[in-house]
Amino acid sequence: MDQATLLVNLLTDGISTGALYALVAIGFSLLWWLADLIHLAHGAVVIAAGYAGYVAIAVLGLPFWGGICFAIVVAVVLGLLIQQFAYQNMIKRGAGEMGLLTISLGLLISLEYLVILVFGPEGVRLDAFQLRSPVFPGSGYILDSFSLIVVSSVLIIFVALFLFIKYSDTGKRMRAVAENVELARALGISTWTVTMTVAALSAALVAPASFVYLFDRGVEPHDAMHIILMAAIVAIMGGRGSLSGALLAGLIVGVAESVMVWFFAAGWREVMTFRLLYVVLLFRPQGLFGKSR
Amino acid sequence: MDYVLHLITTAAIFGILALSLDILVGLAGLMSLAATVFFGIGAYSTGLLMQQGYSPLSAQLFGMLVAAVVSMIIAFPAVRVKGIYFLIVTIAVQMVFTVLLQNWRDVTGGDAGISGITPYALFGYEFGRTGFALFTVALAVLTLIFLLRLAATPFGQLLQAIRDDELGAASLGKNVARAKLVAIALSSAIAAAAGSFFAHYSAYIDPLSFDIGVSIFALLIVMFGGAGTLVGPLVAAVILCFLPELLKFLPLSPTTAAPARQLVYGLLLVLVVYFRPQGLFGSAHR
Repeated sequence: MDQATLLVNLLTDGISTGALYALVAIGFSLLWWLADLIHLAHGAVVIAAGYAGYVAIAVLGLPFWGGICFAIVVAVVLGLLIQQFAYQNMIKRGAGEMGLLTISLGLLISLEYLVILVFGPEGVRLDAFQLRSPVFPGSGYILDSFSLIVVSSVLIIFVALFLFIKYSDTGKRMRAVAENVELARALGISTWTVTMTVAALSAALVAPASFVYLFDRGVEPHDAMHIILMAAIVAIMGGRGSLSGALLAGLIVGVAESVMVWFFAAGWREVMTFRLLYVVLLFRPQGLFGKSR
Repeated sequence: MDYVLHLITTAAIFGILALSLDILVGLAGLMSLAATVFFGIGAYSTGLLMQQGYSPLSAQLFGMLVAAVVSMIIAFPAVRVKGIYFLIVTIAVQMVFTVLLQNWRDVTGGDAGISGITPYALFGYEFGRTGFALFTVALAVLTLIFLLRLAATPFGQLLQAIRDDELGAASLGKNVARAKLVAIALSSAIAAAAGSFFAHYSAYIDPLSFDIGVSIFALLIVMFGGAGTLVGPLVAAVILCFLPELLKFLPLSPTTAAPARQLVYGLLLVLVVYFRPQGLFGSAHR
C-alpha cells in the first residue's frame, strides 16, 4: 500500500471514529450545558443500550429498526430514572458538585458490573455483513458503506439538534434554562420538565452510538469508563454548550488518534488524546468554542 | 494469624493512600481518580531502584520526589479550574498511566510487571511479618496526626477556604493555584510512600495493581469515611479492606466474585453519597 492510500485510510478511520466520539459526547454535553450536570453514568447507558439492541436483534429476533427502538426505550427509561432518583433528588437535598459527581461515578460502576454479572465480561457484537465491504474494491481504500452511514447519520443528528435547539419552543426553553435558571423559572418555565426532556433526549441519542459500537468493534462493559472519558474530553475540548465545538473536537481527536498510529504503536492512543486535552486546557481552558466564564 | 496480619497491613497501606487522597478531596475540594497513579509511581520506583541495589528508604524517598514533581506538571493546567475539568484530567491521567505501564516494556516490564522485590528494611533492620504490620499501622497513625495538624495550620485553612469559596480566597490575595499545587504534590508524595510499602509487601507489582479500579476504591474509602475528616478515611480503609473477606462466605464462583465485589463497591458509593453524604464520620452541617 502506498503512502497516499495509507493516509486516506487513516483519515477515513479517524473521521468515522471521531464522529462516534462526537455522538456520545453530545448527550453528555447537553446535560452539562443545561443543568451543570456531569453525567458520568452516561457511559453505562451506552453499554445498556448496546446490550438492549443485541438482545432485541440476536435473542428476540426483532428486525434492525425494532432493535433500535428497543435500545432507545431502554436508554431513555434508564436516563430518566437516573435523572430523577439520583440527580434531582440529590439536588433537592442540597448536594454539591462533588456529591453529584460521586453518585454519577458510583452509578457508572454499578451498572457496568451489573451488566458483567448478568451477561459476562466478554461483550457482544453483531455482524454488518455487506456494509463492511469496500466501496472501491481492489483500490486499497478501506472506505465502506458502514463508515459513510455512520458519518452521515452523525451529521444529520447534529444539524437536526442544532435546528431543534434554535427554533423549536422546547429548544428555546432549553436555552432559557441553560442561560439563567432563576429567570427561566420566574417566567413560568418548568425547569423540571425541561431538564427531564433533555435527559430523555440525551439518553435517546445514545442508541445510535451504541449501535455503531455493536456493529463495529462490539459493546464491552469494561469500555464504559473509556467511552465516557472520551465523551467528556471531547465535550471539554469543544467548549461547554457548543454543538459545533463538540463535533469538531470529536473529529480532531478521532483523526489525531488514527494518524498517530502512523508514528507509534496503537497502544499509545490514549497518550495522544491526553496530550491534546492538556494543550487545550493550558491555552484555552474554556474549550475551542466555549465562552469564557 | 498470618491472614489477619495480612489484612491489617493491607488496611494500613490503603489507609495511608486514602489519607493522601483526602488532602485533595476533603481539604482542597478536588475530586481525583488518579490517586493510584502516584501510588504506582512509588511502587515502580521502589521496584526499579531495588533492582539497582538502592536501599528501600532511598528508593522510597526518590519515588515520593518523582510523584510530587510529576503530579505538579500534570496538574498545572488543571488547577485553574475545578470540578469536572479536574476530575476528567485525573481519569485521563489514570488511563494514560495504565497504558504507560503496559507498553513501556523496557522499563516497567509490561504486563509481566516486576517481581522479586525484597521486604522493606530500615537501615538494614528487617521487620518480619508482625513487625511490618505494626510499622505500617504506626505510620498510618503518624500520617493521620500530621495531616490533622496540617489542616489546622494557615495553609490547611487556606485549602479549606478554597474548597468552600475559591473566588473569596482569591479575592483576599491568596495564591489559589499555588496552594492547590502544593496540596497535590504533598498528596502525591504520601501516596507514593504508600505505594513503596505496597511494592515491598506484595513483592510483585504489575499494571493491574494500579488501574482505575484501585483509584475508585481509594475514592470510595474517602467518601465512605467522610471527606475532610481524615479520621474517617483511615477507619473506612480498615472496614473496606475487611469487608471483601465477608463476601468470601457467599457461595460465589471465582468468575463472579470479582465483578460482584466491584458491584458492591459501586453500590456502596451510591448509597453512602445518597443517604449519608457527609460519610460515616462527617458532621451533618458543613
